[in-house]
Amino acid sequence: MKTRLSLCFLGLITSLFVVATPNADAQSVSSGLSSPTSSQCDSKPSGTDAESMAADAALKAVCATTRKMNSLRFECWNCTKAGRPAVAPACYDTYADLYLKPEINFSVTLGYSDNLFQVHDHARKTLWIDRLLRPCPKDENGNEAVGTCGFKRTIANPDLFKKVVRGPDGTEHTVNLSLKDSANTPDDRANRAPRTNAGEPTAQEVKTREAEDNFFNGMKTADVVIYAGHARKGAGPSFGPVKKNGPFIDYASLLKDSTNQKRMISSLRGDSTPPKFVGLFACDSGKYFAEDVRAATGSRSGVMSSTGLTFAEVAFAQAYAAVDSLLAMRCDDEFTGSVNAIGKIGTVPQGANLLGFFDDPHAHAWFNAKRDGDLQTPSSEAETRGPAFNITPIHPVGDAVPKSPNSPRSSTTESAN
Amino acid sequence: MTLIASVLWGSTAMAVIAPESTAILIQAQKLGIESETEKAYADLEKIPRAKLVSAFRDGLKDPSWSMITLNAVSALKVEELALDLGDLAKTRDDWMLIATLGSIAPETERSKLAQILISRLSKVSNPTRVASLETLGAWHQQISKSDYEKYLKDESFEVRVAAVRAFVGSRTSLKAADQLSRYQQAFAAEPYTVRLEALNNFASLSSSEQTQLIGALDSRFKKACGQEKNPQVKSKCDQLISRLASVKSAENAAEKSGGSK
Repeated sequence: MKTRLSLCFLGLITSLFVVATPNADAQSVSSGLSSPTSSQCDSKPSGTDAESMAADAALKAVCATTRKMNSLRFECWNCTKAGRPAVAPACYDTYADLYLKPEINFSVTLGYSDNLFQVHDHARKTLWIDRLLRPCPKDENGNEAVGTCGFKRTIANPDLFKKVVRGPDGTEHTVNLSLKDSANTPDDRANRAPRTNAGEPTAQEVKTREAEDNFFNGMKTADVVIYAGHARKGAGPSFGPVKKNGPFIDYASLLKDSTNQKRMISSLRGDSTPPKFVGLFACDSGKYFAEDVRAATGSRSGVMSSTGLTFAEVAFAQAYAAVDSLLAMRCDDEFTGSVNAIGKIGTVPQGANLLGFFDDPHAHAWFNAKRDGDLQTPSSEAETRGPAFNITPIHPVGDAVPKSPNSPRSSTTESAN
Repeated sequence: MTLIASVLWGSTAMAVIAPESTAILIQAQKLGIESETEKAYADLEKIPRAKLVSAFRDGLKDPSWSMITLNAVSALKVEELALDLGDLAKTRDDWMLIATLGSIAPETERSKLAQILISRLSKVSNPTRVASLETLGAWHQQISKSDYEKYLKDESFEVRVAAVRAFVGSRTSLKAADQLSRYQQAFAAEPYTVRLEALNNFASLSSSEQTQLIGALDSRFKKACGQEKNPQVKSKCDQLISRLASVKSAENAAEKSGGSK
């Protein structure tokens, strides 16, 4: 009943909106699917009379719905704002550690996202790329936003995206973001086609190997590793077609081996420096993987994982929001809030939880180096952030920041394409 | 007056999801969750088809349920909604809608629906354009030479690859000379992923088709292979040349032995 009422209301406000905007597309009116443009959504109230106010209220409600819908298409409305979001003191050590080296490597892998017969990671990768390559918005002082924008890619390696950002101390760092998807085509059956030439891998096999390399090598060498896709009920991240019984996944045989789960954990063991942030956005990844990953890294990696059942669309949007938050140096609740912006789909809550990224400063290399005397001991409160760090005033995310020599500029290292 | 009229119009003309449809959509949402898919599929298969179609038709109209509905329409192959999706594709820029349409459209409707996708190619976002080109390829529907050339040079590398897919899907409907010309353009395109896409497809053709097409291209193809910088493409290219060479020498040998008899 409640659903019916709210949908009735949506229908009502949509019709009001259509009346309020006479130029609305006739086809949209007939289908009841009008989508206001962002300029319409940002427009000021049209008047103070009852009719105008009702129309404005209707427009506002339609905009809210459109935004929610768009959030599933990675339209993170509050994520990338112009102006520098200076890092809050509570998170300074975390980001000082993340931005320790001149080059920061992000490994992002979109898993084999099959749903019976279709696989969608191809189109989702295109969405990611469009977002990465778009120009960064600027505030009135010309300060560019920091986040998932303004990247450049090269013809030589079209899966590598580069951007220069400033760390918390104002020094420049190059972010190298390696983005791979897993499906060769959107058709699961086509991807399962056998080899035609003896010994020669199929295009899907090549694609799977590249995605696996990106993820597992990322676990060994990257600073940030992100996975969005299936958890296969704990059998591990998945980068290609798996065994099926009819149209359904054969979990029993998958879970017998759990090859990718084991490979993921073994990639993290040993002498290599673990990633500083691991994001695993997949159904129940918190339950299946988070603790094992934390244990394998000696609790040195922050781990973000899904708290329950997750729609693939949401997992991909959360992965995107996590990358955006790391680049924008969001802190604590702002970080988790932006990743959890979607709330629920239909009636299913969608959540992700972050372990050990902000709340355990002793896990961070910079902190350990300071403790071990590799860095100069600070003598004042301001210096507790490290002698090399140039402290800037703290502004909330999205607030306009006065132009200063330390304002970030997401300059580029290579020309587009 | 306008307001009152619109309120009345809104309350009568707008689609309202009936409780029965809502119940079906709540079940259908589980299809989108990996561990629930099998049970949800079995439960939904028990529902009369007409009720499913009606519920999904409602779901398509509501932004809150649209994604769940598209997923369900694809999973259950609800062909009955192909024309509804085609209508929505005339105005909506939504890659998932196109991908779903691509997976359910019956063969008899494809050429009509393809015209909608083709007419929208230049108006939609990159993900939707990629989904449309891939769908056209899967449906064996041709895109024009000018569209092919335009999208092969598109700013988005993903659109370029999708243009090759659209071509290879409808390849056999083209004359040999046109096929060769489109392969040549793809073999010369950037980045390497476009060349690899075309090469992978070319490598999957039968030897006789390959030799028939490549005959006129042989020396230029060899030269391009020699200059290829990407190791993946180079290796594929070399394999192809050596395979074609062995086919040719086998043919020559057969001709010789036939001639000496």
